[in-house]
Amino acid sequence: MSEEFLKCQLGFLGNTEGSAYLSQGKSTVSVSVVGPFEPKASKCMYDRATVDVTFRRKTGSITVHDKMLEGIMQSTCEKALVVEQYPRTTIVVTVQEMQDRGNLLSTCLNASCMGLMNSGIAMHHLYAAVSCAVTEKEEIILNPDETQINSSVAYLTLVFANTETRCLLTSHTTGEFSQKTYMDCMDKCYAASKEVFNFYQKVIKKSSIFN
Amino acid sequence: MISVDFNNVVLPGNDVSHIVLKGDNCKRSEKTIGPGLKSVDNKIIVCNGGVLRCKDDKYFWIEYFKKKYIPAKDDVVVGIVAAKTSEMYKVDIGASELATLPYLAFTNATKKNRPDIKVGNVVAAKIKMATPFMESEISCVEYANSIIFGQLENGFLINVSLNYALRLRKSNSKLLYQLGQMVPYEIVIGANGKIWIHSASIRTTIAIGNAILNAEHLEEEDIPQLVKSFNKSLNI
Repeated sequence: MSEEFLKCQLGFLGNTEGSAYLSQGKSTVSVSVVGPFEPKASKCMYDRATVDVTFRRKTGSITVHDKMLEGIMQSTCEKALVVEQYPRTTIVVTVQEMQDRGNLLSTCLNASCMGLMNSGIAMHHLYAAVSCAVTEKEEIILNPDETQINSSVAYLTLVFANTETRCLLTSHTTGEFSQKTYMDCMDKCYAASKEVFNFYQKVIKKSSIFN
Repeated sequence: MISVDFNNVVLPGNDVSHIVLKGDNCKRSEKTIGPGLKSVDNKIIVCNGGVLRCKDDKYFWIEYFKKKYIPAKDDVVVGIVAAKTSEMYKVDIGASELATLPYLAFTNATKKNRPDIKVGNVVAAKIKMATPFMESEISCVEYANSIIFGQLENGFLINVSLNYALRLRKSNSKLLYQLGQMVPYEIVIGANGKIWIHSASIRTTIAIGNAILNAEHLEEEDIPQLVKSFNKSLNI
């Protein structure tokens, strides 16, 4: 993973509590976080906050596949946030696709993590998503580009937390692969997630302007 | 594990127990953790990405960027009256819910002598009760030696981030003092990031508001420069 691979800008939207603009390779998304605020009575939960993730395409309406991405992001965000600290509120995360050239899910997840951290909402841990493709010769390519994804037999997106022990949060896979390949992918992605966390640390260091 | 040092950046999920609980000169039970830290299974875990601060080797907290106000007891806040009911006002203090302000929670108010505040007016108040499970309750009752609460008239309201509001409230803030030497003004800084300013003319009020907004990301040394240009803009 090269220096130029990940780029991020925090707090670029004025009216939201937190925002992040993250590009991973050639894919770019922007995320805004609003809340915690008072929801409609029907959505209100008396002992915890509800997390609402909306995904927006660059053009056109969202598809069933996009709804699935929303679901993955929602469960991952909800696990990371300390929802018990904000009862009877809603936290709304809006993810806007800016450019999709492969690895959209991992870009969205990493951007949402930065957005949530920028908003100052309490979190149990951070998370980093890494995608990899498995070729016919069982080679594993980390952060593949579009052509590599299309020619691969399997495509995996794995999300890890920055805890001391290895903690797999989310696993989204397509295609066929053996158990051994899956374990190999996990090892490789876990090593790559460390670099993403180092990047997060760098971004936070840059953004904390305190006197 | 990423190593964490004093006055250094920490991320949510980092374990800082080795920093917080180190040293024998202070007992474990005497350590106090504040915002951004929580204790899980005898470990101190970070909740918010920011800078770990410490005072007297005893108090630990995280300083992090925050825009959304979460009510805390005895905070002085500035709010906008959003609605009126038969018994109380609903005041927008920038929290997740509107706060309640009973008609009787004013100095010298009685059942017959009601305060005359309309929807849209700005009030300064103190938080009487704050739990995440209920609407917070605020009060404008003044006690001996307390600061002046109640309606704020003819002013101008600006919003800043919570970190900046807290920084301005510190007594060593140079900016407010130096602006005051140029032109007299009144200011109320709420812990919720709302700042009310009032001065002799609208022109100076707006100039002061702009100066405060512009100084958010300035170093302490650069403030005299800003005040100089502020003075220039007044004399045009």
